[in-house]
Amino acid sequence: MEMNGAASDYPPGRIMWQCVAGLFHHLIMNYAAYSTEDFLADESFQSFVIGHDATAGQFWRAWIVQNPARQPEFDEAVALLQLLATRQPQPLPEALKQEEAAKLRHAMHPPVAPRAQPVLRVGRHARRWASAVVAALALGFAGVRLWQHATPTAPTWTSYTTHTGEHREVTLPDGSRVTMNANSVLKLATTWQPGHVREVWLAGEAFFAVRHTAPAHLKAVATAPAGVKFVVHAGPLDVAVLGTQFNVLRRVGKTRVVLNTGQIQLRHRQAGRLDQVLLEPGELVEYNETAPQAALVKRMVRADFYSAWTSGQLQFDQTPVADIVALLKDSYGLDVALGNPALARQKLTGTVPNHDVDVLLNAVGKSLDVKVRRQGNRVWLE
Amino acid sequence: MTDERSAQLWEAFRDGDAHALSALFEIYYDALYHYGLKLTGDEELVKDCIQNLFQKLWRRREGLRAVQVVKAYLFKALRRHLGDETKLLRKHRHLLPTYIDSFEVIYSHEEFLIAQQVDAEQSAHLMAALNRLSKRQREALYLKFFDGFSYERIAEVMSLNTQSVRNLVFNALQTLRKVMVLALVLVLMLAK
Repeated sequence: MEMNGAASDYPPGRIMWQCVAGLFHHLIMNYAAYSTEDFLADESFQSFVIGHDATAGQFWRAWIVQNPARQPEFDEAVALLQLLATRQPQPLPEALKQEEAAKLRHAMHPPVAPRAQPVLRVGRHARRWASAVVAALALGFAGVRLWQHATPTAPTWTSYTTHTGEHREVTLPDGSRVTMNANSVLKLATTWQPGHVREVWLAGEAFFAVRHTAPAHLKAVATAPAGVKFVVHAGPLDVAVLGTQFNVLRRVGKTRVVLNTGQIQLRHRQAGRLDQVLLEPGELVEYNETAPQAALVKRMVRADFYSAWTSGQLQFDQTPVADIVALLKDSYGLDVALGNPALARQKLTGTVPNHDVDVLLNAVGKSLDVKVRRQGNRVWLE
Repeated sequence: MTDERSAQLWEAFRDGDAHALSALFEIYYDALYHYGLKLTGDEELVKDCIQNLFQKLWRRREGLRAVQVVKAYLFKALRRHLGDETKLLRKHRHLLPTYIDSFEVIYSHEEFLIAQQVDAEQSAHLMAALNRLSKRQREALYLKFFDGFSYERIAEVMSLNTQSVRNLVFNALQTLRKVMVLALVLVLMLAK
């Protein structure tokens, strides 16, 4: 039926020519006789005009230079196909996709089935009373089961928010502790099913101390089952751990993860790739939206510097100035120029408050016996 | 996203990697959504069908085969899902008086680059010409020009043979060529 329907609005002679054109698609000599129709039907030519294929573009641009006699047909076919050049459709709202993705994840990892109910062992006298208890329990369970069944894909959410200048300590349903920095939002399902992946969503900055719920021998996060993992979703990054301490920063344009203890399995979800790295203590990974295609790269840092905001103090212990310069760049957005490159190798020891970057800079300057000059985001130590 | 990389994710998913299926979901969600919306015009239906499609893939992963072009496979599967759902809805049409019996692509000028450059009359002319094409011609054009599918993949998605698709697209372009003579002149002038 379909064949007939398609063929009926088609002159028979052309079908033959179409087949032949298909067979000799890649013979250049064949293109030399191309009519407008032939150009239109040619997939490589379509790709060239519509811009799906760079190789086709090169080929056809070179071809028309070699075959100027075909210019009118070529131009007409280009113009017609250009009429059909499409605009990139508006991307869908991120919230819609996130909600649908969460539904799918939920369906892929359903909550574990409730354990078999314990058998009640009772003496003869107590039996009648016990059966009443069993009945009541059964009703209770049925109620819970019904309630769970009624809302299988619509968990209720809890979110915690901090405002400017505010820090907040949050204890999660599994006993893990989160310290939230200012201007942050942490979101999670209100109840967590045992044996189900623990998930939170973060915007802003937070330090996580995650409880290890897996059996003690399970230490490698990469090979652990999903049910014992704890995952922080921060922008395009998924931070998966078993039981560790780490800092996650998610601000507009960038996402940064620094690991203090344990292990992190870090995944990058977007841009059509599955990029993942395993972090060891002291490693930092930063993702910048300006380079969404760049692979995730680790580097070693002083991890405690990046969580120093939780205590309000930076502790230097024979810390090279180079590390402090990196911190000033990462945490305060300051570009520090050293008048003398040898300064980078000097080491500092001591404690400074970290909430005021000028106090910090002055302390560094005094210790090194150099002048500190600051202009906006640029700092000179000379 | 290359076809090879998607095929690798597909393999990982068939091996039970839920993250791989989640990744495919994120990669193709927009394209599937827009295609579904083009066919049915019903956002809720499209959302439900995509969700059901992926959940079903997960449940049946062990029975699935390797695929060359994941995107085409997903488009075909969504098209079938939408077809089934639409049939059901049609049966109960008296319950849904506003439901439009469409399952067809309707074009609008916002979707085209050139329509922004020519005047409103020319643009309306082009849209009218596009929307006068047969249902299948419009769908084949959509898959070709919006999603960049080859004839072979369009054939897979629409369950036709490749030659039929070639004919559909070619005849559609010929029709447009006849109708759009004047607009073409304008485009040629713009191009110079």
